[in-house]
Amino acid sequence: MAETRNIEILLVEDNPNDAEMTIRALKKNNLANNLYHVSDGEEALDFIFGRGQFSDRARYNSPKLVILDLKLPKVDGLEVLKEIKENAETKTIPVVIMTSSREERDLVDGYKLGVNSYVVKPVEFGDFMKAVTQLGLYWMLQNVTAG
Amino acid sequence: EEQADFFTTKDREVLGKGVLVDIPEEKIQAAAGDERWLHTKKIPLRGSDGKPAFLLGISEDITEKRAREEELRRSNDRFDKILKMSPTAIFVSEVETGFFLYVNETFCRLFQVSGKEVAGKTSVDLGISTPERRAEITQNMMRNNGRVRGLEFRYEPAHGEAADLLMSSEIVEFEGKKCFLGSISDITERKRSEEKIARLNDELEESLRQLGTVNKELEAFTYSVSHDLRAPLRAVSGYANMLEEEYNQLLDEEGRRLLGVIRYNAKKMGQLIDDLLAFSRLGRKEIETRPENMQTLVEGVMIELRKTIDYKAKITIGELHTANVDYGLMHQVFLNLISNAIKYSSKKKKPEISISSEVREGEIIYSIRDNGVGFDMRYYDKLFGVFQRLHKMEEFEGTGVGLAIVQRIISKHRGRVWAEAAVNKGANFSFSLPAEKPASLTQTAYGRNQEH
Repeated sequence: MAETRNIEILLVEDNPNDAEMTIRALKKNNLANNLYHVSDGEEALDFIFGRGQFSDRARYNSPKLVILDLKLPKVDGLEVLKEIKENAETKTIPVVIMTSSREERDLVDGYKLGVNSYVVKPVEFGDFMKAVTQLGLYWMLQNVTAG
Repeated sequence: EEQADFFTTKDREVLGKGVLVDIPEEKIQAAAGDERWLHTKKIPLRGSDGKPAFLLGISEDITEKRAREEELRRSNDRFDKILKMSPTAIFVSEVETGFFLYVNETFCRLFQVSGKEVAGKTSVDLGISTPERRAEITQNMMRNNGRVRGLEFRYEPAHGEAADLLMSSEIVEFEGKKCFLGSISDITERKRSEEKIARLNDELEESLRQLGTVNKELEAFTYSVSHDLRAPLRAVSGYANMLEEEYNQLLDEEGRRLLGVIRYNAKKMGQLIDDLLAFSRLGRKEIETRPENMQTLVEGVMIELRKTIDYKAKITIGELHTANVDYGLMHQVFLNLISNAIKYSSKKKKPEISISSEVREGEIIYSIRDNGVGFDMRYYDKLFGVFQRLHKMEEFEGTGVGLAIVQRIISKHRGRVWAEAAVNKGANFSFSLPAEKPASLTQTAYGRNQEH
């Protein structure tokens, strides 16, 4: 089991190809060192709340950013988002939603869950950094190497 | 002279026979010259010898009375004719006994009875009604003081077809008795039609319901297909990109070309999916129209185009009429038509495009004309089809959905789209919008024709 103590970014994506491309883009810009990847909604919540297979993880050690896909098996992306935002301890965790289209983005807006950061898949790094800036995660900008 | 003769003959008769003569009617020529009618009694007066010696004549002028009687007779005649000829069955029946006192010909035909038969018979006797129904109807009538309006009932004769009848009646006095005066019409035809209409309406509603379901399913299908197609497409594009980024130096020229073809087609497929989605989205969208300044709208389109396309065409925008449109959709229309004009005139040395509008026979017609490659009018039918193209991919890029989208939007606005062109002589695309209010020319801030 990988070291889950100092995870900065939690990537929630069920499609292995999409996950690979996203991690690649982040890695190229030095952001993937403390990234953890889960493949369904249940794992995502277990990780964040320190339950199930992650019950040894300290709950106060929340990831600094969650990159969340919407279509997930077991627990849907919107459900995950809802639980994060409705829990006092976790609602401050920034979440970037990955959508495959603008239509999907409109759908999410409809749920009014206080989301304000999106990237459209495939994740173009430039767009990703814009989203990260929007969330005020300036510390991430420091990790980015030039070019 | 004649009159005198008549009088003297009668007089002699009276005197001779010694009897009273009553002449109920005799026409005379009055002194004033007009004709009068008299009722005359000639009474013999006997003399002392017992023989008629004098004649007493008493005449009553019955001209007016006679005229009134004539009028009454004529009036009755008229009513008789009306009753006889009426296509409605009319009857008079005694309230107390239910006996028919009068029925007209239509009544006889309707109920297969003769005028003579009905005397002294009730509707039950004649097989027109049943005792229960008759009691019910009579009660109904009595409750409303004999007045009944539009009472429907079914007539089922022993021989012959059943019919649906409609009855109205009033209480009148007829030959000194309290009677029902009623009229009955055969509404069988009408009822059949009503039933048929109701049935057709039900079928129509059912069809509409099914249509609605099919449409919903189709939209859900299109959406999910487009959506699900994106994921593997993303992988094809993304991995081809990664391949190019990491392994480009390991590939020879042919290898790089092949990779390029993969990336190009993946991009194309992405566009197709987007266009398909846009096209299907139009089906669901509700159109909201408002009077819009077309000048401003086209300006907005030009701004957007300048950002995305680098074009050298000279575009002239004339004064454009205001119309009731859905801003977003109309923006799409002009975007598609103008970018088409730009695209298909891009190969000319001096590409020129002009946009104008005019009012013709209660419609506003907007036209976009270009001097580009045009198209062969032989293939006009394919012009607005989805994914139909009239030019090869090598000549001009495109998925062939643009015009189909334009047509859908315009038909939602209750307008028409059409085009005229000739090969290498440019094309003119026009669409019409109904002019609901008097169309007004929009004023531009910069003056008449603007050049871009």
